[in-house]
Amino acid sequence: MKKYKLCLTVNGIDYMLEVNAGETLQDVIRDHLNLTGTKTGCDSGACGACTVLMDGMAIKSCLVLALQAEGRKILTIEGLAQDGALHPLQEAFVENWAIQCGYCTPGMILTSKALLDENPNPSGDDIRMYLSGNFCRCTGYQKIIDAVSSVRPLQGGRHGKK
Amino acid sequence: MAKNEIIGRPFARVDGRRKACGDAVYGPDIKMPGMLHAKFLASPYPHARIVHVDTEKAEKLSGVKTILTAKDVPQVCWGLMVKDTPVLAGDKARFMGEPLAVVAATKREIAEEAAELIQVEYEELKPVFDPEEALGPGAPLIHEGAEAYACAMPGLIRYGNVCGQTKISGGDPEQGWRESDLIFEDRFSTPVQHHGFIEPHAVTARFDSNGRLEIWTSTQAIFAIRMALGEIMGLPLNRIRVIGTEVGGGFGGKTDITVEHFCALLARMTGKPVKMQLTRSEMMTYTSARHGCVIHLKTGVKKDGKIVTREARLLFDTGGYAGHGPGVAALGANTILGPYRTPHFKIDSLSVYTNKMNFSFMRGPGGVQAGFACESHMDRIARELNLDPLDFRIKNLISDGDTSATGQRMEAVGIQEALNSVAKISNWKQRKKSKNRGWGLCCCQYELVGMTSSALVKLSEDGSLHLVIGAIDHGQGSSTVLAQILAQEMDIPADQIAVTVGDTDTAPYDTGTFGDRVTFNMGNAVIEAARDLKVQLFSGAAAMLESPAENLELVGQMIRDRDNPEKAISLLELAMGSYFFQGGAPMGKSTVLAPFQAYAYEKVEGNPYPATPAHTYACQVVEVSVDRDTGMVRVENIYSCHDAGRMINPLGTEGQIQGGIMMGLGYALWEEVVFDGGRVTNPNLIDYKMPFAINQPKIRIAVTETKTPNGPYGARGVGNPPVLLPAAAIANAIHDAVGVRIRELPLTPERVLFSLKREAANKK
Ligand code: FES
Ligand code: FES
Repeated sequence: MKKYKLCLTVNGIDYMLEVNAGETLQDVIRDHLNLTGTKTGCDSGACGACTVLMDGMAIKSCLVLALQAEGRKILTIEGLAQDGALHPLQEAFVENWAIQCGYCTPGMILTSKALLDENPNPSGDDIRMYLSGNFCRCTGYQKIIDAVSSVRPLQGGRHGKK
Repeated sequence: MAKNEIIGRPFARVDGRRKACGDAVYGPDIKMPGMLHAKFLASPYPHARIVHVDTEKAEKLSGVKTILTAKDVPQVCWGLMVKDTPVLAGDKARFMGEPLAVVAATKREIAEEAAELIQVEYEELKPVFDPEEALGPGAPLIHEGAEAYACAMPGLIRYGNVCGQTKISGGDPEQGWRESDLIFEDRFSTPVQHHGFIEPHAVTARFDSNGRLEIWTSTQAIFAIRMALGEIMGLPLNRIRVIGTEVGGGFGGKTDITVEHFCALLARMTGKPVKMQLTRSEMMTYTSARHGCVIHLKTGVKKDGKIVTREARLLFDTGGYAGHGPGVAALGANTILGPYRTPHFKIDSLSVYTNKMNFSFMRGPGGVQAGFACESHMDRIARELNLDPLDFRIKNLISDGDTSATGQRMEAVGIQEALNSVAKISNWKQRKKSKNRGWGLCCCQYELVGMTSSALVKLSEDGSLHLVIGAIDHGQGSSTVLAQILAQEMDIPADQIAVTVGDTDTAPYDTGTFGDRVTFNMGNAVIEAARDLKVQLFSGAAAMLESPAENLELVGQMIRDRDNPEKAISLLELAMGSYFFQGGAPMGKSTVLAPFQAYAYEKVEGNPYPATPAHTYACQVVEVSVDRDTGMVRVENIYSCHDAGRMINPLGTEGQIQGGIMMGLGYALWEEVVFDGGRVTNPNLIDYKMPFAINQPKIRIAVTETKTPNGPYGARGVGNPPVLLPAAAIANAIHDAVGVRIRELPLTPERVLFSLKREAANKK
C-alpha cells in the first residue's frame, strides 16, 4: 500500500510520519503515536469520545483523514496538564465527580476547553449546547455542566480556578 | 473513635486524575508486540441451518494466521443459567449477527477481508421474532433438544421455547376477584434498549509457554469470565489470569463472555497475543441489550381504592440464547406488584427464545419493564377511581412487616419516606395544572443482589494500607466508596489508601459488579477485613505495650490503650515490628456471603432470585408539556427521591441518580433498537437516539436514608432504581396533560400523535 508523508505537531512535538491514505487522525494519534487518551467509541462521528483540538478547534478525530491534518497543531488530553499541574478543567472534572467511567472524559474536557476559549463565561445552556456532540452514558451530564461552570476566567483571560 | 467523619462526605474519586489526564487504560488501549487482530463472521440469517463452511479462499489471504469454525473449537456449550451456547454456531445459526467463524490476522483490515471471503452455504429456517408467537403451537423450535442442556441454575422451568419461567402466587386470587368491586386490565410493551456505553468491548489474550492464559478484558466480572473460560478452554482456573482493564461503562452489558473465548482460542492456536475489538454495529447486533417485554396486568380493587388482587403475565423476549433471561424474568416477577400491599395475586413470568441476539442484564433488569407496566396501570386505576395518584398509592403502600411478592418479610421499607419527600419537593398537592401540561408520579421498589464478596487489606512495611479486591469499578465509584469505608474503619485519611481491583491472580473471589451489590456487599467485606486486621494489630501491640488487646484502640494511625493513652505505638512502628520481629506481614481478610432471606418457598417456582438481602426504593414526579400538533413531549421538570439507606459519598450517590435518570429518560422517550424481522435497522449511535446534554431537563434530587440492617452503616444500592422511574412517570404525565394513555415505549411524537388522533376519533 502506498505510504504518504505526514508532518504535524501533537502536544507541542513535531512529528514526521508515513501513513496510508485511508488512515484517520484518530489512527495516527492512537496507533502511530500511542496516545491512547484519545478514545474510540463509534468510528462514525457520533459519540465525541475521539475529540481533540486541531488548531484550537474541537474536532472528532475519527472523521478527519490523517492527511488533512498536514501542518496542523493538535492537542490531545495528554498535552493538557502543564508540568504536572492539571488544567483547571481537569481539576474541576475531578473535584465535581464529573467523571464516572471516564471514557467520555478526554473528549468532554477538550470540547469544554474549546468552548471556554471561545466564550469564557458560558451559561448552563451554552455548555449544554456546546457539549451536545459528546455522549456521556454515565453521569447524566449535570456534574459535567457543574464542572465546566465552575471554571471561571482570571483577569487577562486565562482560565483559572473560581 | 472519630466515627462518621469519612462516611457521608463528598470525597473526590480515587481514579479521577488518571481518567482526567487520559492515562487510564481501557480495553481498546491494550497493545502487545506481535499482536494479531481478530474478527468474526456473522450469520446473515436469523435462523438457518449451516450446511457447509469453506475457509479455503480466506486462508490464502496474505496476513491471515488462522481461521476457526465450529468444528475447530471445543464442543462445549456454556451459559450462566442454561448451558445452551456453543462457542461458534455449528449446526445452525439462531440470530442474525451470530458468530460462525473467527479469523486472526496481522492487521484488522486483513481479518475483516478474510471474514468476508469465508463461504457459507445456508438453508434458511422459519424464524420467530415475537415471544407471544414463539409460545404458540407450531412455532419453530429454536433449540431442538433443549431438555438435554445442563443448567447452572437449579430448579429452572424450561420447555419448548421457554428457557425460564417464574411463577409466584399469594393469597387466593379467585376469592380476590369475587371480593373486587372493579377490575382493570392492561397490556404494555417495551422496546429493546442498547446499553450505550461508549467503550466498545475489547479483549486481548495471550498464552505463555507454560500454557497459562492471560487475558485483558473490559469486564464487570473477572471471576465469571475466568469460570466460563475454564469451561470452554478446558483449563483449570489457576491457569487462567483475567485482568480487568478500566471499564468505559458497563450497565450490565459486560458481565458475561462476549469475545474473550475467541481471543483465547486464537491465541492458543497461533501462539501470539490476539486482540479483538467490536465495532458499534457488532455491539448492537451480537452483544446483549435490554429485553423487550410484553406485560399483561389485571387488577381487582375495592371502590375505596384498596387493591385486592392482581394477575400478571410477563413475556421477556430473550433472543437466541438464555443468557441471564431466566433471572431477568424472575426480577420482573418480583417487581410487578410494586411497593403495594396485594392480598391475592398470581404472577407468571417467562423468558422466551426468539431469533434475535441474546438479551440479558441491563441496569434494573426486569424491573425497568415491570416498573413501567405496574406504575402506568396504577395511575390508570387511580384516575378511573377519581383518586389522586399520590393518595391511591399511599393507601396501598407496604410497610415494615409486610411481605414481598415472594413472601419475604419486609424491613427497613423506605418507600413511605421517599414518597413524602418527593411530594414535598415537587409541591405535588399544590401542583398547577395548565393546558397541555401535566404531572405524573411513579414509585419503585427493586432489589439488590448479595452473593459473595471477599477483601484483602494489606498493611505495608511503612504502615500504609492497600485494599485488594476483585470487584471492578465500572464508573459507579465503588473503589472510592470502599476506600472511604476502609478509612473509616482504620481511622486513616481516605486519600492514603490505595485500591487495586480486578486481577484474578491477586484478588480474592467476588461475584462481580452488578445488581447494586458492590457498595452493599463488598462494603461489608471491607469492614470485616479491617476488623480482622485490627485484631491482629492489637494482639501484636498488646505484647509491645503490655496492655490487654481488648483495651486497645486505633486512632489517628496510633494504637493506644484506651485507659492509658500514653501507652501507644504508631501504625508505622507496629508494621515495621511485625514485618521483622513478630507475626509477619499483617493482612486483614474477609469473605462475606450475603445473608439468605426466608421466603414463601411453596408459593414460588422456577425463580433464581427468590429473596434479596435488601430492597431498594425511589419515587419520582415529572412535569411535561405536550404539543398537540406535533406529538412532541417536553419534560419540564423531574423531581426524584431515592433511599440510599446510608449515603457513603453524596457525590457518588447523586452521580448514580442523575446518570440513571438520563438513561431512563432515553428509554422513555427515544431509545429503541429497531428490528425488521431479525435485522437491526439502526445499529449505530446516529440512528439509535441516546440523550445528549441538550436533552437534559431540570432535575431536582432528594435522598432519604432509611438504614437497612444488612448494609454497611445501613447503606443500600442506588444505581438501578433511577432507571426504573422516568418511563411511567412521563407516560402518566402525558395522560394528565392530554388525556391519552400510551402503553408502549418509547413515547415518540408519532406514538403520542397517533394516540391523540385515535382518542379524537373515538370521541366522535
Ligand atoms: S469515535 Fe469519533 S466520534 Fe465516536
Ligand atoms: S463518564 Fe462514562 S461515559 Fe461519561
